[in-house]
Order: sequence, then structure tokens, then C-alpha cells
Amino acid sequence: MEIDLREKQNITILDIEGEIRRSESSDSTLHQVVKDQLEKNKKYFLLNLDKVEFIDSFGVGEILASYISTQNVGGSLKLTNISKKLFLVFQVTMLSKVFEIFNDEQKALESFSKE
Amino acid sequence: MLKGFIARFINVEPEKKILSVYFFLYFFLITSPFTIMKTFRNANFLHKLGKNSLPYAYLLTALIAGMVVVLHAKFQAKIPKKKLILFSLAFFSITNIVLYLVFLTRMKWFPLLYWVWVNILISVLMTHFWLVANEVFNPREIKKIIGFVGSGGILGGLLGGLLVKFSAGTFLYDYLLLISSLMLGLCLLVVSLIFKAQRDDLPDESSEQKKKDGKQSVTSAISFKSCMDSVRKSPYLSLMALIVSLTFIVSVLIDFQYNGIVGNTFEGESNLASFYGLFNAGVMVFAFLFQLFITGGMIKRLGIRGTLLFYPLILVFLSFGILFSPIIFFAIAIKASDKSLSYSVNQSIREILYIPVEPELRYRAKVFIDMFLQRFARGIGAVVVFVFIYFKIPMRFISVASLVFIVTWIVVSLKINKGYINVIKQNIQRKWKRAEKSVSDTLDLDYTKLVFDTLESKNRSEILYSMHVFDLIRQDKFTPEIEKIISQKSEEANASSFDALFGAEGGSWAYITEDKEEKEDLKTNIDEVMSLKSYQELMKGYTDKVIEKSKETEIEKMEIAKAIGLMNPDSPLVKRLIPLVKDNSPEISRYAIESAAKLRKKEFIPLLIEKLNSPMVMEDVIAALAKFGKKAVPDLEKNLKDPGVDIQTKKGIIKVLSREGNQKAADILTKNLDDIEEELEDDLIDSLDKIRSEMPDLILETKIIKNTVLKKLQRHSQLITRCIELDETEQKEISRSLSNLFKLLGLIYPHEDIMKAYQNIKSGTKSSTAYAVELLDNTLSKEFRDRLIPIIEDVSAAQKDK
Repeated sequence: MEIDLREKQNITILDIEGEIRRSESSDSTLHQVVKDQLEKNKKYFLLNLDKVEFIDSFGVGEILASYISTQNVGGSLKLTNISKKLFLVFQVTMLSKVFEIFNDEQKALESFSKE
Repeated sequence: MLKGFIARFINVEPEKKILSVYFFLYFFLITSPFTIMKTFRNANFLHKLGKNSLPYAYLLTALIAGMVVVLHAKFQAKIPKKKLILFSLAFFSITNIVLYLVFLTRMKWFPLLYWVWVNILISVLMTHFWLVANEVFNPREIKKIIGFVGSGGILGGLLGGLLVKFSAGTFLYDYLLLISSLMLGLCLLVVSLIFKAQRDDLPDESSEQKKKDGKQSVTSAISFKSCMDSVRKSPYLSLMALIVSLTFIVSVLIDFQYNGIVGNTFEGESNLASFYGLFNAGVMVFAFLFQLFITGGMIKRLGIRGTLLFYPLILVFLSFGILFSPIIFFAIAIKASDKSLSYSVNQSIREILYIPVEPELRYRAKVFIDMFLQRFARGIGAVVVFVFIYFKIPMRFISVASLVFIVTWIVVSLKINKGYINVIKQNIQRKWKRAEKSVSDTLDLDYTKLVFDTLESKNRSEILYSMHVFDLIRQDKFTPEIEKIISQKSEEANASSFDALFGAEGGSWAYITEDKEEKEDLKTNIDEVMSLKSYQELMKGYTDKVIEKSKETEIEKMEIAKAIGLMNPDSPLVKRLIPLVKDNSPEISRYAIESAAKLRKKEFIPLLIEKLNSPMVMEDVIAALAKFGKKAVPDLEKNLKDPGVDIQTKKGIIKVLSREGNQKAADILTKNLDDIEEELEDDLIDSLDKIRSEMPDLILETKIIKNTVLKKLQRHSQLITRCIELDETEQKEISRSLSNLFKLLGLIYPHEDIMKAYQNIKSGTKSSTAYAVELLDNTLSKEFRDRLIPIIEDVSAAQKDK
């Protein structure tokens, strides 16, 4: 898994690529990356999952942990370009009620400005 | 007074009373000429050929009987049954006159010819008589009139014997054979009257057979072989054939012993003739009185089995008597018993055994058994006698052979009783099943409900819909067909967020239906996500927020209730179900109840039991509690006994136990039978009936049930007596009481049989009602039979009157 960071309108966009799974040996997990950013006083995150090929429960856990950490500091974390499969998982688990999910990045960014 | 006397012996419907009188005359007019012919035949045979020629006569009769069956079968194929019966009577009447003319020529072999001819006559005429009787009357009616009709036959025998005795030495003696022909002519008239009365009811089987079989050769269908095969292939008829054979073999052995002992006791022809005359008249009087006053009551009291055993058991006792003390007392006793009981009890019970057999099969069987086998068995008896004579074995030891045959006869009698009940059962069909059984036989209720809930949820919320689909996937029931049904777009459905995200490119779940691996991955993934600590933490916050909110969050509460049901039972969120189960909204409560059933946590049981008195969710609570199985039983039992618990809740508890349908549930329900609140009686009995219908091998506490049946029988009788002019409510009350009685009986006796009987008594034809009562008569023990059958016969008579 590779995570590229960019920033637009004070929002940190995380472009994630590859597979988010437990077996993936990586120095920094998604949650770790988000926590690092929180330490740098970044509060608003948009996860772009467009290039994510696979995500297992561990990956979902990473997203949830990141979301909780962000919420704890009064920030927010939103999702964009998620796959059909992941959306179904989010619906069944009711996570779609908790998360804001967008089908394109621009709309997601606009939503931050409305908060 | 006379009416009352007659009514005692002919206790049948008014339209059958006159028929019973005809049958009395029919029987009388067969046995009376037969006795005349037989006496004439015996005297002539013994005088001309001597008693040592008798075994030859038996054997020749056996041989000719086989040929007669073949000939009879051929006639039967060509001539309708009614015509054949009338033709036979005319034939025997005329040939008797012809034979009388031959007798006048003093032909040497006339005695042998006449011997065989008389045997053939009685075989054919008796077979025809019982065939007609079996078609006109059902088993219940036969049992009621058998004493009266049978006594007609015995009385005929008595009259015939007396006619011979008092005409001997007078001019009248020479005309006795002509008188017997005249009697047969009168009999023909009586049979015509019977056919006239039954014109529409008695089927013309020859033509029916032709219609049924189409091109099949009717002659081959009812040949001697086919008659024999009909008996051979039917275990029941084979047993009957065996009993008849054993009866007639034993009869020959007894006859030989009796004649031997009498011959040694009385000297001189006149002494012998005087003894025989007195004995035969005495036996006939005894048989007549026995038949008239005892046979009917005996069959009623002892049932088929008891009556079947009565005759051979008496013979066992007397055979031992002869074996150890071959004196005239035992000889007279055994012969008198054999002759009188064979004319009365044995003949009656044998004909009753024939009744439930299907008419065509019965016809063939009777032709084979009554026309051929009886004579053939006599032949075997004669061979056994020959063996004893050849080896010069003392006559008393013939009793050993008799005992062997009689013991076999007893064993077969015990077997045939079971066979009789089975044949009776085949004559009545179950008319309906329990409603929920019919539904559950054709539908998987849980699955159907899930599909309907899925469809319904589509218009409510995407999340609910997704959860339902996932539930289908979890249960391996998400097939392409189901996907097709549930993915049909509803007109009212709003554009889903799925469509908003991905565009409307078919059902969102379509990709998963065919791929097993995808399904498994999805299941694992969701289960794992739901077990995540972070997920639980997140959802806890969301859930608390929703639950605290007011009524407008109904859908969200439903979603949470459903989601908790998908979680691990150890999830801390599971406790959040309690307020949702208690929620005033039936929809929210229903979703929470279903989830509680999925999680099966013990702490939900009292909560669910409390909820049983909410009419809107009662059925859901029942289904949920039933899924807890044994876990819920102690709480259910405690609440059922608790006088503080309301009736509605208790009704629900009974339904839960009935739904569980296991031994434990049945035991609890049975224990409560004798001290349950009156309002719960129907539910309790119905639930036990339901469990019993699903588990025929259930073992229940019969003592409690028997006591309840007896109490109910008493109450039912009082109800009937109290309500002379029944209004609609009283009719319903009686009907309900009768239904409960049968359901209770079905708990002690074979459930299927009792239900068959009940349904046919309630809404069967006249004939199937009779078979149903007969089945009960042979199934129930005396304490129930004596109380229930009069009630049922009153009910069915009242229904017929209506």
C-alpha cells in the first residue's frame, strides 16, 4: 500500500494505492499516517480510495481508527471513490450512516467548506 | 312392545330395517331347504354306500368345488352379478327337481352325486348371500343386524330338520325335495325384492369391471387362478383363507371323534337315529338362541379379536377333555360347540372380516375361499383322519392334531385382527391436515418471511435493504432468482445512494449472486468488521444518539435493531436491543425481537415473555422464543404456572411450546392439562395435538390424558343432554368439545387413525362414517369406547337427519 499526501483548501487528501490488508508489511499504516498528520495540526482529511485494489476488515479498521482519532480532535474524515464492494460493506455495517462518502473529489472538498 | 323387541335386534336406520327382514328371509330360505336336502342326502348316502365311503365324498367334493369355482368365474364374467345370483337360485331349484327324478330311477351312484351337488349348492348360495349382505350393509350395520339375520339361517336349519323328523314315515316325506325346491323359488322372490330395494345402490360389477378394464379380457381377470391370486397376494385375505382352512380341518376331526364316540356309546340304528335327531334339533335351538341373544352383544363387547378367539378357545378346552377322557359328555360338548358356534359366532365374525375388503377383491376372495377352500380344507381333514385310521392310532389322540390346528388358528386370529384394522383404515382417508402443517410442508416460512421483509425494506431504507440481502447471503439463500425478484425497482423507491454513487447499472448485489467465493469473502469481511473494537466504539456512539432521539428516528432505530442482530452475541451493543424491544413502535420492536432471537441471549427471554401480551408483535415474539429452544423452557414453564400472569401471555407461551414441538414442551403442556384455566384449554389441547401430529413417536403421560378424556366425555354427554334444541352457539360448543376429545384421544392412540376417524365422522359419507366408527371401535379401550361410540353414533345420525 502506498499513500501520497496532498493538500487542497486546507484539506489533506490521502491518495491510497494498492491493497489495504493485514498481511501487507508496511512501515506506516493508514492510521499511523493520519495520526502523524493530526500531530501536525491537520484536522480535515479526505481518503481517496480510487486506486485501492483490495481492502479487508483490517483496512476498514484502519479507516475507522483514523475517523475516531480525527473526531477526537474535532476534525473530520471523509471518503471518496470507494469501490462497490466496500460500499456494500459500509451499508450492511451501517458505517455509511457514520461516514460521508462521495463519488468525486470535488464534491467532497466542497462539503468540507459547508461545515 | 313388539316394535321394541324388533328394534332390539334390528337397530339400524328405518330404510334398512325392511332390508334386514328380507335378509332374514333370504337366509332362512337357503338353510331350510339345505337342511332338508342334507338330511335326505346323509340318510341316502349312509344307507346305500355306508359311512366308510364318507372320506371319498369329502375328497370328491373338494375336487369338484375347484371346478365349480372355475365355472362360476366364467359365468361371472359374462353375467351381471344380480342375474347370476337369481340364475343360481333358479338353477338349483330346478336341478333339485331333476335330481329327485333321477333318485326315483334308483341309480347306483346317485347318493355320491347328490352328496357333491348339495355341497356345491350350499357353497354357491351361501357365498352369494354374504356377498349381497356385505354390499348392502356397512360394518356397523352388519354388527347390529348379524344376530337377527343369522338367526334366520339357524331357524331355517331348525325348521328343515323338524320337517324331516316329523314327516318321516308319512306321505309328506316323499315330497320333501320338491318342497325344498319350492323354498328356493320363494328365496328367488325375496332376493328380487332386495335387488329392487337396492336398485340404485348395488353396483353391477360385471359391467363396471368391463368399463374399468377396457379391452382386458374379463374372463381372465376373474378366472380360478385370479381368484386364488387375489387371496395369495393379499396378506389379509391369506390370513382369512388360513383361518377358514383351519376351522374346517378341525371341524372334520371333531366330527370324526364325535361320531366314533357316539357309535361306541349308543347301540342299534333306532337309538342312534333318535340321538342324532335330538342332538341336531337341540344344537340348532341352542345356536338360534345364541345367535339371537348373544352373538351381536358378544361382538360389541369383546370386539373382533375377542370374538375371533372365543370359538377356538372353547375348542381347545374341550379337545383336552376328549384327549384325557374320551367320554360322551365331551364328545357332545365339542360337537355341539363346533356346530352351534360355527353357525353363529364364527360365520358372523368371518363375514364381518370380509366387509372392509374392496368389493371386487372380496367377490374373488369369497368365490375362492367359500366355494373352494372350505371344501378343500374338509378334504385335508379327511386325509388326516385317513392317516389316523391307517396307523390305527387311538381316536382320542386325534385331539392332539386338533390342538395343533387350533393353536395355529388362534395365532392367525390374533394376526388377522391387526389386518382388519389396517383394512378399515384403508377405507377412510384423511380429509385435511393441520393448517400450519400444510403451509410448512409447502413453504419454508422463515425464508419466505425474509424475502418479504427484504422487499418491504427496499422502500424504507437502503441500509435495511442491504442488511436483509446480507441475511439472505448469510443463509445461502441469495440465488439469482431471488436477486431478480428483489432487485425489481419499485415505483415508489427513491433513487438510492448506490445509484448516486455508481450510476444505475443494475442491482447493486447482482455481482455477488453467482460467485460463491465472493459471497464467502463478503460474509467474512462483514463479520470481522463488526467485531472490530473501533467499529463497536463508533456504533455505540451512533446508537446512543439515535435511541435518545424522538419518534422521527424510527427507520434508524429499525436499522440499529437489525444491525445488532448481525453482530456477535458478545458485542456490548447487544444490550442496546432491550429498549428497542420495549419500543412502542411495533415495527422497531419487531426488528429488535428478530435480532434477539438471532442472538439467543438468555437475558432476553423474560423480556420477550413480557412482550407476548402485545397483540401487534405477539406472533413475532412466539417465533423468537421458539428459536431459543430448551433455553427458554424453564421460564416458559414458570410463567405458565404463575397465576399472576395474564391469559394472553399464557396463550402465547402455549404457542411457543407448541412451535418448539419437542418432548419437553409436550411434557409441560401435558402436566398442565388437568389444572389449566378454562380459557386456555382449547389452546393447550390444540398445541399438544400439533406436536403429536409432527412427532408421532412422542411418549406422553397417559394417566393425565386419560383422566382428562374421561372428564371431557362426561362434560360432552351433559352438554348434549342439556341442549335438546341446539342454537348456533351450542352447536359450536359441542363441535369444539368433540374436536378436543379426539385431539386428546390422538395423544394416546395412533394420531393418524384418530384424526382419520374424526374427520370422517365430521364430514364423511355414510359409509366412511361407518368405517370411522368401526376403526374407533377396534382401536379404543373399553372405558372410552363404551362412552364415545354412542355419542358419535348420535352425532352422525343427527347429521344424516339434517
